[in-house]
Amino acid sequence: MIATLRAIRRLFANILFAVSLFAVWGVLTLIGVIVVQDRDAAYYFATYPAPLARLLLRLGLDGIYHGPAYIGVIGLILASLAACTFSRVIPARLSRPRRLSITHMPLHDASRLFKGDVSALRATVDAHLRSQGWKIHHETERGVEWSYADRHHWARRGVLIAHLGFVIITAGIALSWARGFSGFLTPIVGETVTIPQIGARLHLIHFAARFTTIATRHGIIYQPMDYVSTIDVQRPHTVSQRVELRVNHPLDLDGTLIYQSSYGEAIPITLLRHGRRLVGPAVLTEGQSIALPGSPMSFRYTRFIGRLDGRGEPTKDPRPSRPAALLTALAAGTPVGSLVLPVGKPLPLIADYAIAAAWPQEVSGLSYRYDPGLPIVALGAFVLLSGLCICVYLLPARLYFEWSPCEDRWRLSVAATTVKGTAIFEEEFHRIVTALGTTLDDGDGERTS
Amino acid sequence: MIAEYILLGALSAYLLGAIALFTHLIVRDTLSCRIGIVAAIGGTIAAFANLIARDVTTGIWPLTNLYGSLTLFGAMSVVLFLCFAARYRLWFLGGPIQLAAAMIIAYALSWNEGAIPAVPALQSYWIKIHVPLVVSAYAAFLVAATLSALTLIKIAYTQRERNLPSWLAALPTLVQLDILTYRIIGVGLPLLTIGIITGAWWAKEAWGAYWQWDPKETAALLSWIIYASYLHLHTRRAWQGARSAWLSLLGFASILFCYLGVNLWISGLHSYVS
Repeated sequence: MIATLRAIRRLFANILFAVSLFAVWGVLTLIGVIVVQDRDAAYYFATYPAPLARLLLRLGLDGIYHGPAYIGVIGLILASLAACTFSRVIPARLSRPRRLSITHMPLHDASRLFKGDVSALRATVDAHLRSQGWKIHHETERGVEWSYADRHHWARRGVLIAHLGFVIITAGIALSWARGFSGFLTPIVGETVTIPQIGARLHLIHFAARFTTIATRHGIIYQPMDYVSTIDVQRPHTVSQRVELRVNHPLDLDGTLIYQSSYGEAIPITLLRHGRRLVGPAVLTEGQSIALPGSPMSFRYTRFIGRLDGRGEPTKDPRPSRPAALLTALAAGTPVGSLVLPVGKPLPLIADYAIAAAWPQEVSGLSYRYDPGLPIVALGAFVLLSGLCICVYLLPARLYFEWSPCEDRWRLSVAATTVKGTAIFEEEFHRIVTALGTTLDDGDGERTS
Repeated sequence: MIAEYILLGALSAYLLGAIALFTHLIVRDTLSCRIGIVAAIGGTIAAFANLIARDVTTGIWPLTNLYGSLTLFGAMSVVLFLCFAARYRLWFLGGPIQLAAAMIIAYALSWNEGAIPAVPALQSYWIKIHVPLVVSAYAAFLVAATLSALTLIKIAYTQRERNLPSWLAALPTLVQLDILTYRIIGVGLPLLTIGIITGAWWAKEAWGAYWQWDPKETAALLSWIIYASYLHLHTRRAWQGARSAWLSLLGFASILFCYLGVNLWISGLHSYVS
């Protein structure tokens, strides 16, 4: 049992296993980018060939980010990260200074001979290195003087800090899932909607969208410049407050933020029979449907058309002037066709039925969110970034100096090790050695070879 | 219009610089190297002048569309090349980098639709922080990908022939190329991380959630995962060299997908960028 647990820990602490999990995470993320997420089944059957749509739905690839596979992979990454942290990162430290053979180290310099007192020579080297942030330790054995210089020893903890940041972010997200809430409201002008979690009532007084017309090389475009909702906000046990809500300027209601996130046009749709009202008018927002009584047929309001041209074709102008609604006809929930329904002009359907649209009403898209995990996620992101920068920019390195007597002189041999191999430090090592040689030449010691 | 002429000047300078530094790579003469460096600096000044001129003349922040961001991408690639080349004597990189910058700017010119004001979601101070950071990260990854491509060419020649062509033999050793790639990715990944964080912060202000699994932000996460894998694998000796170089190229492919592919082919909250 213990052997199995150890084997599992070894597996999870293996960096190739961690990267394999990263690869799976990456592939699942890529699928989520390519496959449009969180739509209803009809959308996938309309967009993809039926076998592929069935496969996507059966494998849950339509909502991959909330699926067990995605969350499971992130869970495995956290487990791998924990195993790696406790079995590799925390125990990892620069080995205790050991008197190694300088020439056996991959990064070493040719020995040089200096005349003078070894204490003075060593003091010169120490002073030079200390001025550059190195920490020095000394040892003497059998007449050989050893010095060790360490730099950025603490930066070995950079990986630990980065991993910790990842864990903090996950904790923040978990807190958001457990305690947070969010939602989307689409009040029509004059309508009141309620945020159920905090009991706040929002009455949409007015909505204004401003567009600008721009002539480009590829034709005229209608750019939305601003959209603003004027809202009366009524919180429990407080007086009503009138606010203007704009994009990028959310309203804070005791920690719950309300955003101006979108806009649209609702259209009152009426079903007629023999020219008389049968159903409606039902005020539909985009995506909502109206059913034809006694039949499997229904009509979904798919998109608002601001202006029809002289031939009754939709233009790109989103401002309501000769408006229409693009409807999708559904038979038992399956799309069977589409039709453009001009406002004020009923369209005949099957038998004696007809459908009519009245003048559109403005809809404001408001989203709200309470996210108690946000400060923790922000802290985690900062910690992760700090750890990443420490790992990348601070290289823990150790220099080894061996002062051995050689007749009336002292032979200095220098070598170095780092936690990221020697090639990355080679250039700097030679610069340090050259600078040391110059310093010793300028000091009390006399270089002889 | 003046701004477009300035950008054409930048494009010409980068083309001249690319020719000069390719010549330097082959014949190793000082004159062509100097011409290449001067052209790189001149082209970069012209590219930034274009951005400033557009900001001043239209009053619209120029990085709200592909025209502006691609211009910055090309210019930042050359800026990073100049910084790295000055620090590590890598002038041989200038040919491919300036050629890439010229192609990027030529592509940017095809996206010039004139002065189009920003949509409401982009009317935020965050655009002045988030976009330059992310585009600078992309530029760093372009330089890294160029180094990786050179590494792979050198490995391929080394494996097939005993005598390398003189231009290839004059490049740094494979170990040095690998370390240089690691260093430039070490610049790009923190920039990308900060870019994702600032983007999330902005998204929280504009859309109400710092993460919405929008294709753009998810593709950025994918790129981050690949480069994070690169850093992890680079600690293993067996993964240094060719494998690391391939991973760097894969990372840059994901960056291109995130930057252009998502904008042009996949609809989402970032679709206004195109």
